[in-house]
Amino acid sequence: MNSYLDLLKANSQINQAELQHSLDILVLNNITTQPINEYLEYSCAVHQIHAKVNFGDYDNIVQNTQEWEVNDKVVIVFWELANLIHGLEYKIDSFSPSHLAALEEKIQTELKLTFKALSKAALVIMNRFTALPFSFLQTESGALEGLANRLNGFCEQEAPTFIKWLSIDKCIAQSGIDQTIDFKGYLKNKLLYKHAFYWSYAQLIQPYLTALTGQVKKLLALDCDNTLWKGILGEDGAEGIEMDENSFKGQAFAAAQYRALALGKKGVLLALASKNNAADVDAILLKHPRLTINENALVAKKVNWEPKGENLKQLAKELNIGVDSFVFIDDSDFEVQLMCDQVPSVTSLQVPKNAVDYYVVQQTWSNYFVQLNQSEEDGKKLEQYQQNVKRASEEQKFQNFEGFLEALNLELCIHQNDAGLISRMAQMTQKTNQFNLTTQRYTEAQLTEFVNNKDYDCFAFSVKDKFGDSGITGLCIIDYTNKQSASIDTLLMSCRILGRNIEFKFLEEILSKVFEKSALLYATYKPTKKNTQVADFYAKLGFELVEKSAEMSLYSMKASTFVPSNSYNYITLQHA
Amino acid sequence: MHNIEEKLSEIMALVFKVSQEEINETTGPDDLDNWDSIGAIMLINALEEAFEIEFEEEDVLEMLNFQLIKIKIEEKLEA
Repeated sequence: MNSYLDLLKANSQINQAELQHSLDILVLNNITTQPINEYLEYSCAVHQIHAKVNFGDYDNIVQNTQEWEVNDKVVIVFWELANLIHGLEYKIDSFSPSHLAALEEKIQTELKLTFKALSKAALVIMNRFTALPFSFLQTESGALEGLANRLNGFCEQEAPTFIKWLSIDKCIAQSGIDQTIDFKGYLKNKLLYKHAFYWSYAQLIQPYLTALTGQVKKLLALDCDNTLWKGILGEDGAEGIEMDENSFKGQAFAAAQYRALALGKKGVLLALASKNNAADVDAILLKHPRLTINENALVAKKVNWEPKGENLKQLAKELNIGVDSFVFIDDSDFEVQLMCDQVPSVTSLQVPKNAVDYYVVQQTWSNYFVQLNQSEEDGKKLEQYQQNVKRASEEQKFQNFEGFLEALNLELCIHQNDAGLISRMAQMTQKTNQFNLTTQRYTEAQLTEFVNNKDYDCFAFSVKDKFGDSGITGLCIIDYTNKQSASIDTLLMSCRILGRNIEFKFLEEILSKVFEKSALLYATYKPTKKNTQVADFYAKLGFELVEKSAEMSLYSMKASTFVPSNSYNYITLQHA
Repeated sequence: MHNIEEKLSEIMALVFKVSQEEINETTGPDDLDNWDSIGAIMLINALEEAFEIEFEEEDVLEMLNFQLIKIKIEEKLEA
């Protein structure tokens, strides 16, 4: 996209009504930022999101946050250092220390008020203070840079963790001052930023917006030849391939391995997708002295001569996650094109032909896996998925499935209104798509409200068996705000624990709890593209269908008709 | 100068998010919802970019409808 006009033309072609998701975005500012509207609309549309952008009043950030409704909105704040007061960039070096201190104190107070008022927003993005456009020609740091550093330090200390901070110096660095900063526009209309700035800005914050709509990537599938190492194993042999970080040729590839490994540590599943002889690749994984990404870091190896698209679809099935949560990296135009064509829901990235470009572009890999809340569970995920593979092989030893389940020593542990689990519970509402009856997305702030409000009960659970602990993998939120009846607001489970009747045991336990408080319970199923597997879940449990439309099915159950089935006694129940 | 007219009406339609048919010789700020102070700034920026010209502050004050904007652009291009 070369210019603002090109972008306007592209946007006029987008049919917003066809997009699957939508977000309300509020931009608060103390400079003129209206052009960003078009950039957000475009970047969001590429990710299937209809961005409805509104702006706060000019230079009224604090007032707007106090007076305006921000619930469930994305709030983006442009709090421009140089315009804290008109002409600060050239006045500040002449200020007396007490004058500067008074200004700083005023801004800190305003920041605190803003932080507090924004806690109900679905997502808040703020920019780190920077003096760069007004100091890049100056040898020694001036007072404006000093103020930027101190305010950033203040924010680091005082700001709540739900605020995402973006360093806008990155936007300036991507295209340079000439393409990003509009000094004429600033002097005339307080329009500080240009096309390239807004373009970079929209790209950099997009991962947060995408994550907020539940479109989260979970697995990174890597090709081997010319992706994890330089060279072709089948032709160059084990001696001929290069991944030595102390050679120019190998360093970009060594870096790729470390980058992937780091993602694995954060909870991203790593897999190989390579056309090679499996034994050849295994030998490299086992013995190559320069290899950092070894067997233990991988959840699966699809090393064979079958089409990669088929391999990835099969892997998605084995792991019980959607293939649209896969990112695939390969050096071959052919393989990347074929994947885009055959399995378009996989995000396919091509390794640049030039190794230096490859080294640089690796910075973007982590963008695909950005999460709004990182939780402790994430790091343990690989182990749990590996346990799934083990369980699958154990399953074959038993003649009947019941016997297999009994031998697992299943333990279900339920945590009721546990404030320590708020970030994990919020994360589950944002990420769970398949076993999710209503697909309500919630922020940490909203879950805090549910946990503390006695009109709601939040039940989370973990499952243990002889192979290991699943961690917190399910959630049910009951709403008692209507005094005549209770309703199930949210019911979701991670797919990796399914297939062991945990879902039935859990819900029966919840039902017996709910019916202690209420005589009637309502439950809804809201169909999405991904949750058809639970369409008849409530029917299976003996709920009565009250009403059915294309958007939802409403079920109910009376306390008097509820009878625990006692069918799942091989699952031990505990309350945390 | 038919070309300028066509280009101008295309740009105004894009900036103010209306169809090109809604724009005629006399269209001005009162006729289009999005032609407010910010809209006017965005229009000037878009025109400067598209025609590779630069407006002075005095020019902007005179650019009160389609016809007047067209005359200004022609002046700039001839200069």
